Amino acid sequence: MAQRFYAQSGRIIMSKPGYNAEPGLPDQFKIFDSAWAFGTVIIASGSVTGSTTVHFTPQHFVPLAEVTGYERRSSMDYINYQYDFSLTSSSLSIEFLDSDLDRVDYVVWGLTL
Amino acid sequence: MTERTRIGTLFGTPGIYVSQPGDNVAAPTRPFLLDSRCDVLEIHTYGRVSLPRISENAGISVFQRSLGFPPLGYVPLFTYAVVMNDSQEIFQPPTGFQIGGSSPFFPQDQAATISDGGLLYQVQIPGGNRNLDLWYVIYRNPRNPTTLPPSGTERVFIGNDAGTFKMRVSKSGFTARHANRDQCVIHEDKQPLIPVVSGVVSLGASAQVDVGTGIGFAFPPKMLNSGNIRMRLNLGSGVIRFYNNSTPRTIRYAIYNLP
Repeated sequence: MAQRFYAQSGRIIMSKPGYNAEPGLPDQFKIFDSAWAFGTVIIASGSVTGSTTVHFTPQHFVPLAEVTGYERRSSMDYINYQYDFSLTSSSLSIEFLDSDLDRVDYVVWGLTL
Repeated sequence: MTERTRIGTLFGTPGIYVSQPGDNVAAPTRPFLLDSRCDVLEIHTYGRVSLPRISENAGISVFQRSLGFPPLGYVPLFTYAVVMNDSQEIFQPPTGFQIGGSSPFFPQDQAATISDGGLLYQVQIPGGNRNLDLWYVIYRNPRNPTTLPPSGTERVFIGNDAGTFKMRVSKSGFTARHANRDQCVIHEDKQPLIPVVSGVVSLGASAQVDVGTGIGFAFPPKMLNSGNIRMRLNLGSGVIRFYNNSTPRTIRYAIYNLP
């Protein structure tokens, strides 16, 4: 059985099934490595159907957001760019700029400038 | 040595926290690598498939692909991109495509329709047939997740539980030993994205800027940036091109490999 948890000398590694957690393990076989330079934390996600301010767990930084707008036509969701957004350390404000815009999806990532 | 791991209370909330290398977890200046107050994107399925032309009208070609995936019981988060130009360049929507010349073309009609078990993507581009691929990732994360209130349940378990190895950090309200992978931030069966490279770049007004990562990609990766700037990646050279059609700005970009 593989040794899937490594915690020594200030480093934590968790590996995927069948792989020993050790510093030389290639990244694609890891679930987590404390030596990674940045992470995969998702602070918030969702979709809104009108101009909204979404509040999330307050952070010690202003995070990064992926935002995509859609309008519904003929049972398909077409990309619509007519929206704007801004971030603080605890909220994401999304503004709808077009009456055709039906939905804006967002993911707030644990990354910052 | 800098304290980087906290299993206990931080910011008034019990949990497990791991800071970035060199950053003090008790007084952090950068985002955490692991924060049990938050979630992580987990991959349900992903792939790269051909994106065929299905029709042409008045010089506009319609490229469309629909695909199914094992139903999740909810509409998931997803991401998608188009791979084109001799299969060497990936353009991540919402974006334009560089289909000739130096200026990107922005499709007037580009659709991505997701359900709990299928994805349909369509884009309309002037001209004849092209060799396009659709790249997609379907996550196990619901598009509209439930917000979990803080709780005092056992949130961390690493070890042998009745003959089964478990390595878990559960979400609020779930006992780590009994939680499934969707109820955990860390779980022995997780399929997370793999961080590859990140950086900061300054972009002039209405400028195209190339940034070399020095890394080639055998399979298209996940890309994002803090400005929602349109971007493409050359898979062979690892050069990212940013298309800033607005005022000067400084952004962070990040690239993640799929497992």
